[in-house]
Amino acid sequence: MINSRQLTLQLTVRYFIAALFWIPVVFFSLLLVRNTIPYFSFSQEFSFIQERAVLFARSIYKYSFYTHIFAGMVCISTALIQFSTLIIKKRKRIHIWSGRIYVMVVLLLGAPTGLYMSFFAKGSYWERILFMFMAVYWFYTTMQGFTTILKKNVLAHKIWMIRSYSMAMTAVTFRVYYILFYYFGMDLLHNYEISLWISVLGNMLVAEFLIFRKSRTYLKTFLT
Amino acid sequence: MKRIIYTAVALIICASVFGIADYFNAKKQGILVNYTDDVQTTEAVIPEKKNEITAVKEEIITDTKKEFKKDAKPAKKIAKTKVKDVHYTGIIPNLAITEKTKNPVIEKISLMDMLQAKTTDVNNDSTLQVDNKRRINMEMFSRAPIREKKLKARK
Repeated sequence: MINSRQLTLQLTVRYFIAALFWIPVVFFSLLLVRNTIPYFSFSQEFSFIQERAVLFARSIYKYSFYTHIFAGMVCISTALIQFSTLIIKKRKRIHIWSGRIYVMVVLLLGAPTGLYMSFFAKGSYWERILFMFMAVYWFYTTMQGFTTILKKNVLAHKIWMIRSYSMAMTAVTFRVYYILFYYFGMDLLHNYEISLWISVLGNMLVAEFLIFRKSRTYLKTFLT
Repeated sequence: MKRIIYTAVALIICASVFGIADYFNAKKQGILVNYTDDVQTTEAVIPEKKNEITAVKEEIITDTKKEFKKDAKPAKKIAKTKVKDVHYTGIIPNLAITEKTKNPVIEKISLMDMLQAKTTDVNNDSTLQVDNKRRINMEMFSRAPIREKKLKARK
């Protein structure tokens, strides 16, 4: 039997862990959004554009890039409020509408443009394949999340949306690893490749771990 | 709602078809960007600075030579016992040092770039070695920001 003091302690620890997870997530997500805004000046000064000048000469690649970064900005911004239990319980309309925007942007803009750009991605064949996998996986998980909620299967919707969000967050975690390895003196190309693999696989593992924890607590409810 | 899913699936198929087609097209034309040759180096050679330095040195040397020729009499007075030959090379560096303090042209050799890049002089041939210590800022959290810094440094 748990007394009220123990319960308070448990809640405090839970909130603390949640804060430890969400504060960096929110901070880095907003930082990425902020740093993406200058790209909409459509200037050619950015090194990302300069080193792909040949590709940017093709209008399809150029439009794909701008569409993709716009989609990324919208996805990351809207997804931040999707996991808040407070919003889900008290302001369900916000959750529904931001969820709709997220799904539409991923399915119609983010994933298709990401898949197209993955063919010209930096790195070896393996990195290109990884980018393709990311685009397809992001698309598939978002679509599954969307179809499950249409069927009113909330638990499956949560699971698929966690997976989808983990893929959206690779843009953020990749940069965190990249800067971290850069700081420790790793050369740029190896740093890029390693950061990419760690961010994708790491995010997938974290997502599966969270799903496992969630399903375990869900299964426990049947036992009690 | 099904329409959205069908449209999305159609877009994904289109993206993959266009991607494959454009990829092979670009490969045929040889316009695919090769990133693998971009190896990071810790040494940055600044030839412009080197030219500047040598130019200034030459200027000083030639000037001093001319002055030496012009003011042959006082020079003789000073170096009468030591140097008989006007073109004696051993005397030139000393004169160059004295000229450096007078001549403002030397101030053109700005080492601000070196200081900003945390560089240290290694050799006399103006080859600079960049410190391994790297700085992080908020602007790096973007697409290829580190490369951007590198390009600026090259400029």
